[in-house]
Amino acid sequence: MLGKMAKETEVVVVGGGIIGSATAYYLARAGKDVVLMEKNELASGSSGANAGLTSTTWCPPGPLLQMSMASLKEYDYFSQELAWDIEFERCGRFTVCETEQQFEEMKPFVEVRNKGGNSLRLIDRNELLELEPNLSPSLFGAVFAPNDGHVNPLYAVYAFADAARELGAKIYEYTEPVAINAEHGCVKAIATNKGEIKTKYIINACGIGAPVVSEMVGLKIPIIPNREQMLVSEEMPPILNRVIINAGYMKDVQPTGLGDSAARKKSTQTVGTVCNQTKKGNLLLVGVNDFVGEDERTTFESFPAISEGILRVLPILRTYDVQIIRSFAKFYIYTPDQKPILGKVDGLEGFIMASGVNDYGICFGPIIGKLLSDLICIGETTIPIDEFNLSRFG
Amino acid sequence: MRIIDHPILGRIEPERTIRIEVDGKMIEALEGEPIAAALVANSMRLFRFTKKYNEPRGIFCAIGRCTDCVMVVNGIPNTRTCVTQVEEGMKIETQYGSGSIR
Repeated sequence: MLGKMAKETEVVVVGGGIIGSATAYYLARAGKDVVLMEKNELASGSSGANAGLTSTTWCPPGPLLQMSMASLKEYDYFSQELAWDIEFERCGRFTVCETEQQFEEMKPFVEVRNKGGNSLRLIDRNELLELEPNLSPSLFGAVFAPNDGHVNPLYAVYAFADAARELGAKIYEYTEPVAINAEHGCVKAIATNKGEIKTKYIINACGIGAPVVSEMVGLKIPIIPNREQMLVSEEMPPILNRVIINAGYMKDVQPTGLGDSAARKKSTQTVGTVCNQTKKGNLLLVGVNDFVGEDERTTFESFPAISEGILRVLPILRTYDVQIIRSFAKFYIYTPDQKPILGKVDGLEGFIMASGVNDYGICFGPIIGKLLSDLICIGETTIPIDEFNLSRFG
Repeated sequence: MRIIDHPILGRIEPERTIRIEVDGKMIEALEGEPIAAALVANSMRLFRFTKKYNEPRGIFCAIGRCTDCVMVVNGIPNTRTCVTQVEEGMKIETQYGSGSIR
């Protein structure tokens, strides 16, 4: 950061991940004075360590499905508009069924979501292998979401941040809040390790750090970090056309919308199978999920655990002697009901929550940015976010 | 040109010659030596072309760490030729970018 930090602004966005950078962009585009602050470097949190998936498949009908579909449309626009190539592609997703039972369970799953506006298709083994020849013939079929996609999450954050900066936003890295000053129930200023900024709005877009910021105004945020480990393979020639995820993982980790969210909290460890081939050719192989507080270390055991599942679904990786070059881990930001925590808070005018995005932060980043920008600029949002208010936790 | 008698690793014994195919051309190799050694002994130095800018690559570290020397061997791309031993009838091809499968 060159020169002195701004002393006054209209909106301070705390947290330099996908939510923060996208929100700063939309606000700057709407003409607001914005400061984006990040305690480390942009995308150094969960936004920089994930598989870059953007999916509508799991979303139950209602605002979540509307938001995911709208967010993908925003990504469509940005893949043309931003100066960076964020490698966004509507490559499609297969949620593969490894058992006949899973295949049967996916019938109502697809029906419910299509009634809510999605366009999923349940396809059988033959069609699946025709569309994705490298998958194992032992699979029973899959839910096909032709419009789901993937993106390079790092580039997406950098692209939004650069675009925000061009539009006048000020971005400060290695800057973190130490206190928030409020008077008469209104946000007045935010004190940081680099000085104080007078502001009207503060947006809490910190991932697992959201409770720390909310504590500064006496608010408790019920966020549970869930560590996800994933593997990265060497660059491969094109092996996959679409993102692959196994239906079993999705039910454990992501809300089915059919009421079975308790399963997620009971298991302390979940092992799943997700394979996403990046534009460069590396395969991102997910993953092992654990509730281990804020321990972001990777474990040796995750290698065989993840590999077993992947090889069941993509046996070709064994044939071609594919090598794993590294692994990494970061956090999902789980909330007790798997819904995000968005919007204004009771009792403190100007403080806005933008966190608790569970495992769909990369997908929802743009739309959350847009909705919160609308909330601040025109007082209402095109998709209702009342059910995501913090007050629901009592 | 190859090292037959090394001061530390000793002598290659027995010196059995086998034939391997490189980009359709049959060449002679010593049984048990790395593919890269056979290629260099046959004056072949260009092993692959990079993905982004199509630049030529050959041996660099020669100890299996840098992946400069990778080629498509028996259909498998990204095979490190400096640490993979030759076999009779092995099929080796110049790799372009990440290669292809099938």
